[in-house]
Amino acid sequence: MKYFEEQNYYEMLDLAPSASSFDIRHAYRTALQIYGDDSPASYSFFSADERAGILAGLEKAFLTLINDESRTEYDRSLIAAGLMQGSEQHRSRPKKPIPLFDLEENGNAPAILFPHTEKTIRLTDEHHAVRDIMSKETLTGRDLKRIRTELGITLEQIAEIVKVRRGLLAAIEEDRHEELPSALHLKSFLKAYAECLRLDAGEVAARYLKAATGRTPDGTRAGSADDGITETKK
Amino acid sequence: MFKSNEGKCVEKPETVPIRIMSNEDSHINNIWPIGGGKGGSGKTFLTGSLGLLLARQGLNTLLIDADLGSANLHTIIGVDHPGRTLSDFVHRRVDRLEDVVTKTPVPGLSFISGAGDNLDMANLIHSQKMRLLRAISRLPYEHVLLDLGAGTSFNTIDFFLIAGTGIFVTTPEPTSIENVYRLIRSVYFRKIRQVLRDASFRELLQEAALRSNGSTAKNPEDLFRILKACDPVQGGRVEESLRAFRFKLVLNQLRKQDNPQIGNLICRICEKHLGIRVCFLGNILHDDRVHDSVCRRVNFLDKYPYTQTATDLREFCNRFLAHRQEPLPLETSLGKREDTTRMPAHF
Repeated sequence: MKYFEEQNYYEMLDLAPSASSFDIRHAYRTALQIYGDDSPASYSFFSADERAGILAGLEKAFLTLINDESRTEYDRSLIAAGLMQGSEQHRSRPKKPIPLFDLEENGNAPAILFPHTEKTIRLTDEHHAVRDIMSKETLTGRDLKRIRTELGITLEQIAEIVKVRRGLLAAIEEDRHEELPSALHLKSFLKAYAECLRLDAGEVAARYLKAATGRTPDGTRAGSADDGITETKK
Repeated sequence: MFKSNEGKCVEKPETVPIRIMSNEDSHINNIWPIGGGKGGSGKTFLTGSLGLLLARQGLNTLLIDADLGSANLHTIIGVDHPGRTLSDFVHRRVDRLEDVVTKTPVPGLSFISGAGDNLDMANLIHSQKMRLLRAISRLPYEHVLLDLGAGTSFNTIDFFLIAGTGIFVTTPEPTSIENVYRLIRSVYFRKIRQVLRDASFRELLQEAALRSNGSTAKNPEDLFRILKACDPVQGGRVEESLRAFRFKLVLNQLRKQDNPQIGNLICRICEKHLGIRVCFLGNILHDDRVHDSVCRRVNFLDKYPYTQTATDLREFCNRFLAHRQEPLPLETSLGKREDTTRMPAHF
């Protein structure tokens, strides 16, 4: 067992050296839940000084790792100290999008998505276009479509996994609000859709709904109730 | 004759703990001490419920009320007047532990009461505890649940130490969590004390006092750190035996507004800062009807089987069964570290 102050930044945050920026954010949030001043989980475990020290350490770790430049530098120092293998290093080099399911380039691409592979998450996060879109305050159907095409996933694949009619997904992507089901159903579809792309489901749904309701105030009313809703209920 | 609690109770330190945990006693594995730092966190209720659920699954289960000095498990499981008690065995009024086992109304569930004991029952000496646990492990039961008392007395800690496992019960309240940490640290401390011989332990304390400017080390992990720095071999032994613990945690009386992740986070803190592996067995929702059923002296699971709390209890039982045979942590995570500590032997 290594003591907290002896740990490197990755160990402090329970991260693998190849962790993506998404993982880093997530890990930092979890760490704050554990070590935060008002966290009941660590109540009485640390003295005030210890806690302050840990929080400062975590913040430094987070700020170092979340920035590509300082992270590369830090990685280099770890490699130099023999604490990390060069091959484990996080690569932010390939700036261009990495096709996930590029059927032309490698014929053995999987026919269906495996929504739970870690790799997919990482790739999603490494996509710069995806990151740019996800940093917007609101998301439109067009944004979602761009992310999807960027990742090389077809609507049919998503429809298969989410069990939602293809036409309805297309309506979401084309912002045809009058064809969409009630906000409640739409939200769950959006979440499922976002999960297929390994995006933050809650965020995507919230931002899409924000955009949709912002433009057409009555856009999320229960539309043509017979499509989509009845199908997915089964 | 009469022994007061805790500090004044003079016990011979156990210098050869490795033998206690050796293969000979490996079937002690099916003994599960259930404890928690704080009174009122629901240890007895959980023990009774878990025992009932295990028995209903066809597993031959024995409940032992080891809350010595303030036993009341019999009330929970509907045995009004237990006949013979644990104290009869400890004080050798009966020879065999089998003779103090009482049947309960539930088929497959047996019970040893700790009620009606003498005053000194609350302070067993180590050899009595060992004799008791040996006798327990020889009983033909698939699961033995030991309901322990609150607090961090030697009684409680030693049962955890000897069994090498156990279930901690806590509620999401800071007071209760604080006490669980206190309990885990006491186990930690006692383990260090066990592994080291008298003289080296005294040396360690002196060293600790020296390093922290006269005051004694606050936490056992500080002691351990000093030990590791001064004596890597002994330190490795302590570390190894700490890793060998297989503790579980259950979060009782979770209210709807509480963070359901607290249990997981507690486990992570123990793993990260104490090097003790604690496996989380789930949350149990708070329900006023538990109080109601205890007052009426009926079984909660029978009276309110379709409540979230009852579902949580069943889930808890299933997870308990699923995790009971998890591989020893030594085999999985310590592999690499073990090699390095063992290295000198090969030279």
